Amino acid sequence: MEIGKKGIGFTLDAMFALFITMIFISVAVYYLDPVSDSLYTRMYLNQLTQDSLNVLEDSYALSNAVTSNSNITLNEFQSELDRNVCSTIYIYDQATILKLTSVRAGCGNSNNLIVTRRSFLVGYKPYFARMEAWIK
Amino acid sequence: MNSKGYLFSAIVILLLGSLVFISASYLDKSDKFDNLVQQSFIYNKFRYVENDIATDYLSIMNVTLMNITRDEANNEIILRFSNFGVLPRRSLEDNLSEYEKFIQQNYSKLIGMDVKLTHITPNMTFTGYNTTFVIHDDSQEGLDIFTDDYLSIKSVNVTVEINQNISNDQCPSNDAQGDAKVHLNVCYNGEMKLNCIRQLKAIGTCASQVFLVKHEGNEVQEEVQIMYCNYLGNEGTVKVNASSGLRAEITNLRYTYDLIDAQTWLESSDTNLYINPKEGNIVKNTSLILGEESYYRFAPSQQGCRGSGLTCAGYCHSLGYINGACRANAQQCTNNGEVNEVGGNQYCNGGPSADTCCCG
Repeated sequence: MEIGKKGIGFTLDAMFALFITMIFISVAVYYLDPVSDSLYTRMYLNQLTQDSLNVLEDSYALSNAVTSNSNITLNEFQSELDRNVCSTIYIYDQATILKLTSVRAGCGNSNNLIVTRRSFLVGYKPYFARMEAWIK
Repeated sequence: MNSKGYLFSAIVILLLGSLVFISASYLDKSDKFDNLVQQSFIYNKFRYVENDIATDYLSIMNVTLMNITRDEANNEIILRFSNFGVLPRRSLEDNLSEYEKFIQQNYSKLIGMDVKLTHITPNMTFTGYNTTFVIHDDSQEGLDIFTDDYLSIKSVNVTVEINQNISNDQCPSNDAQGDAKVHLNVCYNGEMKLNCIRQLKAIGTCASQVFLVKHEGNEVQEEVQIMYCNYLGNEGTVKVNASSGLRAEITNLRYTYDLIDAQTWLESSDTNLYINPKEGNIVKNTSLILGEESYYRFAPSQQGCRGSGLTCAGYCHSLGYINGACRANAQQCTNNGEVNEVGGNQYCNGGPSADTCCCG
C-alpha cells in the first residue's frame, strides 16, 4: 500500500516536470521561429542577378543579342547558372517595348522572385535588361 | 529526500529558463543582424546603380579604364586606359545629353528609385593629382590633359593607332633635366611606326616638345601631334590631336605618378549623381565615380600596338633595335644573339621563364 502511494506521487511528479519542460521548450521554439533564411536567399539572388547582368553587359552579350535579335547567348549563359536557380531575362528598348526574352529551360513560374535591372547601350542608344530569378 | 527533490526541480527550472533566455537573445541579435543586412542591401543598390551609369558613361565616351593601381613597392600610382577612343570625336555631347534624358525620364521609373544625373560633361578628373581629361567634341583640338600637380607625373605613355601608312616622324630632343618621361608609340596596321621615349620639362614650349607623325613632302598634310608642354599657361599638359582626314585611335594611355597617401579615383568632372532608393533615410548625392583605386599590381601584357603600349619589343625599338623578346635570363639573350637591355626587364612580367628583355 505504501509503495503504491509513492508510485502515484512519482508519476504525478514526473508528469508535472514533463509539463513544465514542454512549456519552456515551446517558449524557446516560439522565439526562434521567426528566424528564417528567406533574407539570405534574397541576398544571394540579388547578388547573382546583379553580377549576371554586369557580366552580360561587359561581355557585350546584351548588345549583341539586340543587334542579332537572338537570345541564344543569353540562354546559354542562364543554363550555366546554379541548377537550383531559375531565371528569365527580358530586354526592352528606350520606349520600354519588349525586344527579346530569354527563359531558362526547365523552370516553372514563381511569385517569390528577385528582379534586377540594368541599362546598356547599343551604339549610343540606351536599352534595358530585366532579370528575374527565383529558387526552384 | 524532499529537499533533494526541490533542489533538482530548481536546477531543471534554471536550466530551462536559461534556454528561453538564450533563444530570446538569439532572436534579438538576429533582428539586429537582419537590419544590418538590409542596410548593406541599400548600399549595394547604390553601388550597383552607380556602376551601371558609370559603365554606360564610359561606353558613350568610348573609353576603357583598365585600372588604377597603387604600387607601394615602386612608390607610384598608375592610371591606365586600354582605350581612349578615336580623335577627333563626333557628337559626344549630344550622345551624353541623350543619355542624361534617358536616366531622368525612364531609368528612375524602371528601377523604382529616384535617380537624377545632372551637368553631364565629356570631361573626367583623376582626383589626388587633379588631372583633367578634356575631350573636344567635333573639333580638331582633340584631347587635352591638364594636371594641377604636374610635378608628381613620373611618366606618360600614349599609343596611337592610325589608319594611314605614315612613316615620316619626328621626336623632340631629350632633356636630361626633364620632369617626366614621355613615351609615344604610333602604330599602323598593328605595326609600330614610331616609338619614342623622351625626358621632357613640364614648363617647355609646345613648339619644341612635340611628337609628330605626318606625310613627307607635298602630300596632303594629315598628321598626329602629341605634345607635353606649357599649353595656354598650364604646365605639364599633354595634348593629342589628329587631322580630320586621319583616323587616330588612342589604344593605350597610361599616367604614372609619385605615390601619395590620399585615396584616388576617376570621376566625371562636374557631373552630379543623385540616388534615393526610397528605403530608409539614406541618399547619395555626389559626383559620378568611374573607377576607384584598387590595391593590386597589374602585369602589363605583351601586346605591342594594341594593349599596354609598353613592351620589351617597344623598348628595344626605342633603343634602335629591330626586335625584342622576353626570355628566362641574360644567357638566353646571348644564346639567341641578342643583348639583355636591363631597362626593358620591367616590361617582362611572364614569370621566371620570361622576365628578361632581350633586344636584337
